[in-house]
Amino acid sequence: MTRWLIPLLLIASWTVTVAILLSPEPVAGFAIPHDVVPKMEQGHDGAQRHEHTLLLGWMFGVLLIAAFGGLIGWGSGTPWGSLMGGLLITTTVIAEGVFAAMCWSYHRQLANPDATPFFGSFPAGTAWQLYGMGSIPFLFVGIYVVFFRRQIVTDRTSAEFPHLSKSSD
Amino acid sequence: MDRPQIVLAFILGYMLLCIVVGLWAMRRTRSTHDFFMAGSRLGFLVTSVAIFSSTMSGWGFVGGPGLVYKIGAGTFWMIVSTGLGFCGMFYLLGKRLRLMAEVTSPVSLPDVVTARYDSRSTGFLTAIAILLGVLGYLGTQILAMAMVLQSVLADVASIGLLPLGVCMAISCAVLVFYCVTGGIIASVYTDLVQGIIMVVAALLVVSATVASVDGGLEGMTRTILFDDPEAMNPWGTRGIVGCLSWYFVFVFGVAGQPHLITKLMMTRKPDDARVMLPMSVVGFLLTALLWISIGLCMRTLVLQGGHAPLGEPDQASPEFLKTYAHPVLAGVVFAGLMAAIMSTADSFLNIGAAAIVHDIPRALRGRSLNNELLWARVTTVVIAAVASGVALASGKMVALLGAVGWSVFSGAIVPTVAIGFNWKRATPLACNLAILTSLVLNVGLQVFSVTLPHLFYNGAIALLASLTVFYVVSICSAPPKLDPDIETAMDL
Repeated sequence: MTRWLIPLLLIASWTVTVAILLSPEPVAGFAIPHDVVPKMEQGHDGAQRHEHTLLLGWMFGVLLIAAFGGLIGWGSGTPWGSLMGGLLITTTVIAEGVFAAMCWSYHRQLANPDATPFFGSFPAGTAWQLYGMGSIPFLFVGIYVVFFRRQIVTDRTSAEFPHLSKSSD
Repeated sequence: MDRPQIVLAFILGYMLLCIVVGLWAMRRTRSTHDFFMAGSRLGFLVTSVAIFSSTMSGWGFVGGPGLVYKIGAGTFWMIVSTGLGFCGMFYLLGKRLRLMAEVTSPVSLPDVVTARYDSRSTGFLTAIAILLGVLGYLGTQILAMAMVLQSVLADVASIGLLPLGVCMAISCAVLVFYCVTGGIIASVYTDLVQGIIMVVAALLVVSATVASVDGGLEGMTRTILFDDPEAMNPWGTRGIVGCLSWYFVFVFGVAGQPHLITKLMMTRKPDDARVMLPMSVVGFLLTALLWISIGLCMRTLVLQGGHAPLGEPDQASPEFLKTYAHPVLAGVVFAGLMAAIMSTADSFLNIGAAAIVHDIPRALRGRSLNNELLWARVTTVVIAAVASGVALASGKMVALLGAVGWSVFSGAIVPTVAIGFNWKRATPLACNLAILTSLVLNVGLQVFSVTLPHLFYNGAIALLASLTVFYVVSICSAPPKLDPDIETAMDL
């Protein structure tokens, strides 16, 4: 699977990146100076500036999360069919779900900006970003700690470690 | 004592502590391996704290709140992604680099790269990439350090506003002293002190910011949302493409930061990684609370008319501490600011010195300099002086300069080390071309001030391009023949 995953992800990433770079930019641009406060920026009309990029941006994010999950699964040498591999895939899917929920919350807010729901002191989209995306690392940390002796630094690694320096002398 | 004197006393106390640690570490630094690698005998606690405190630099404590003030919640992506990036770094390199270090007994990251690929040119290019990144990034740290000190001293009636160059000289003198005397040992043990100060400072600051605005945290977010809904939404003022391209460079780029991954080779045994990952992630996210809370608080206070607009976004942290924090808290946090900056700067000084006195001579002449430890100390002073000059000559904002350094490292080192140390098919030619691609794109786009459509971050294009070059060239080249010891370390 890994053999095809890398070229597929690279081709998909370039395709989305080129599509983003070629899509029309909003007339007002980005990083607009604030009306009143110097050295501060504002975003103005979110619907207008994201007219051509919200879907492409979501696709770019989906690819990034998939690439990250694939990369660390591959890097840790974990078979995808093992328990740890399954948990890494599940966590990646959860991250995709949280990211989609964040994008959807933002999209809904664009349609009705006066009725922004709040959660944990932040607008819903930002709450998904901070509390949702911000919590994903802890899932990966948990998997790393729990499966450390079984899949990462195994008994064999520990046993051979002291002999590594001697063999290269 | 009045408020400015209390703050100054804390900073002087902190600097004195750094000098004491430097003197203590000098007695433990007897060889080049001690100076650059701490003799590979660090414990997991000191290494974990050194990793997160080196990450949360002056760029995080000064530039971060400034970015929240300027562009809103879009900058939260840098925090969220760096936490995830730590996971990537440990999954890919936590064990692998320690095993490689055991096989090769390296003095630096380019050393182990040279051994992995059996290629002096790859080690040389890695050292060049590190050196270029160090000059940009270290300059940023030194500039931030001088700005903080200048801001503190300006409020002390008997001192007043000193030129930035003078403040730079004072702060650099302390930094260089402990780096020269104690090398990486002084660096990581000051990082331990600095990391603890940073966590305490960040936790105290959150409560101070919440108390500074009516309605607390929700009062801040509602004020910003009312003024400009986009600024308080996940994409900030820069838009979805700008933020996600940052996300890309920060998630994947952590595993390419030489000042962080070099520390993975300094622990006693690979098992330490199991504890280091959670400690690093938790420590980083706790210190990031300062970044978020001060940025939101200052943007709110200015929008509400309770505080005059800032002359520069980077003044957000110093202004908040001087105006709204209790004098003792301000003293602790200002010491924390200096700690955040110095903890990163010392790491850069160390790897920069290694590149000049060890890696580049070995790549060009096939052997190290005579009396390498002495030259390492001399070079540390020279690098600090050159980076200070770069910082004084550059008019760019602290945060953006830091981000260029980060992307130079990401594009050059992620393919070569993070992927290549786990993939036997990777070839030296692929590494060399990937490093060159990263350098040309990052430096070229910066020099010609190129702004990509939709504010797509230049560093993201450079990283994507270098990863593609690395993969395609490796696949198209003949499979490399590996040294049996290296192969064993890659198989375990």
